[in-house]
Amino acid sequence: MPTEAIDIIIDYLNVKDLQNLSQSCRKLRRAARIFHFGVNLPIWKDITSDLTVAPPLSNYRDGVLIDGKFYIVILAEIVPICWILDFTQNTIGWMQVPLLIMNREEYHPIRSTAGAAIKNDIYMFGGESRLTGKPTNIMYKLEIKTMKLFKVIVNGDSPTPRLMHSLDSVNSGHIILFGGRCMTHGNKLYDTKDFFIYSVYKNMWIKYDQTSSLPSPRSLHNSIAINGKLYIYGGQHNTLRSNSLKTSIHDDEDIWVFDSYKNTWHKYLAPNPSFLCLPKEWIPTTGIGPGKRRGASIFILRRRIIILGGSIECKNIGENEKTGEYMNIFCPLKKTWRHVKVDGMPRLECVAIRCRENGVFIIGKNRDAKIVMGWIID
Amino acid sequence: MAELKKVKLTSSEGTEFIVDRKVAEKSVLLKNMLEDVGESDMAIPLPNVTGPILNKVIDYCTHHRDDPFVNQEDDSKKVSDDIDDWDAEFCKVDQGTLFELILSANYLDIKPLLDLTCKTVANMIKGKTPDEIRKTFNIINDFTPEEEEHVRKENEWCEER
Repeated sequence: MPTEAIDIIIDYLNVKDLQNLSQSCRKLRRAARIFHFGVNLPIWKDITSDLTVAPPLSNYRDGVLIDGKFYIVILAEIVPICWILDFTQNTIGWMQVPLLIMNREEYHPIRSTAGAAIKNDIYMFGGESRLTGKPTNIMYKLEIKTMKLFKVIVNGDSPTPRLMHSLDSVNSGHIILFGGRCMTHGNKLYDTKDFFIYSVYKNMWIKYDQTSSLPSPRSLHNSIAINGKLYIYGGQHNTLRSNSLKTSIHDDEDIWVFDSYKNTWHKYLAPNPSFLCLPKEWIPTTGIGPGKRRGASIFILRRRIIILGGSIECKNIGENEKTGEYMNIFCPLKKTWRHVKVDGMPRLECVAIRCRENGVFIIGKNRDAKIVMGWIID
Repeated sequence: MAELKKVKLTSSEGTEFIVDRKVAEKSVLLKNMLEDVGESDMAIPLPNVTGPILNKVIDYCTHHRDDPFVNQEDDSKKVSDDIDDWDAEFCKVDQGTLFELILSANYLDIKPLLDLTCKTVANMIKGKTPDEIRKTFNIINDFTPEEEEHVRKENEWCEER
């Protein structure tokens, strides 16, 4: 029976019938679960100790995937290094390659900088200066074929210095910057909802019109760009209104979507039974959403949006532990949230890398601030 | 030049069927082939479809020859109780034939027929227990007793954690 036909049959069943079908035999269990949840029976396989070394903790969110290889650039004080994990090999292991700085006088070391790939180049913007401890707006380009590091001098203005923002590559030649934490002249930190698009052709940042609907200010949020759409979820916020330095997890539980072809925003609202008249770009959802999180991972699997890990606000530690094990799976077609347990998954702030057929590599930090790496195997 | 009105199709056993081009074009596969080949009186071989099944498929396409194309790619809730009388009668076949029709509709890319046959199978599943489903479709239970117990207790389907 072709998979397409099984999917059509299953699409006519309600959840109870689907559950009964899943209990008939292994093959139909897999078909029913993948149709309903998007995954079958995912398990966590920790490979931290197999990899023997790990990149610095402060950089785990900065990686970029190009042609099956994962690159994390460490802009260290003396010699910048690129850590590389080659997923095209059966046995994976970190390689460390020193970078060739093309203009040593202009080199400025940075603790953690966001990156995005355009073809074989990694573009990096912002981060925390290792010299001053303040946010920067320096832009670098790394050519991965030659491992040459260039400082990018853009035409026009750069976004203000920031850290914990997101950079995502869209439409082969453009990079979207969203949010991040900036500093006032009085050294106060605040989160922004700045939205810039960098054009590699014009070598220029263009600020997006702020009068239209944008996600609220945030940093350490999660983003992913796929098929010309940018998805943004979660994060933290710290506003100038507060004199306290305390940062809290963002209140916004929605998933925001920017369509770079139509130049429009819409959002999938967190499930709420009391929705009434909504603007057409606010799309209601059902099920149980992922709630409020910072440092979660967001990725796409079988046309579903998956939220995994991150720190959450919860009443007790037991709830926190339990939530760490679950994939929160959103199906845009049906506008439903589902949950599937990833057997053995620890609580992590993490990023997810889709690098093999339905294989998901996770790199993150656990509650003891240790790097953890592993696979979600389905 | 006048358009050819008839098309020859050959089933897996070599039986030849002559049908109106409009009927044959209900199949997206055949429509694309006919557009690529242009005018020809060569028979189109269908090695994946037996004569009796091809006969049924032609019956279906002939009955629905004037139906408009419907795009079924939407997010609306699918219902399976909207089968009209002729289609319901058409699907009153043994299970082997029904599954052969699904395979042929998939191969020939006839979406409405694939949808109808799948809907019929869905109706055979609805309201049945796992054991009844196994009996209906002659499915072998390949779960170990421990797995079966575990599967029965799965609560993810209830949307509760």
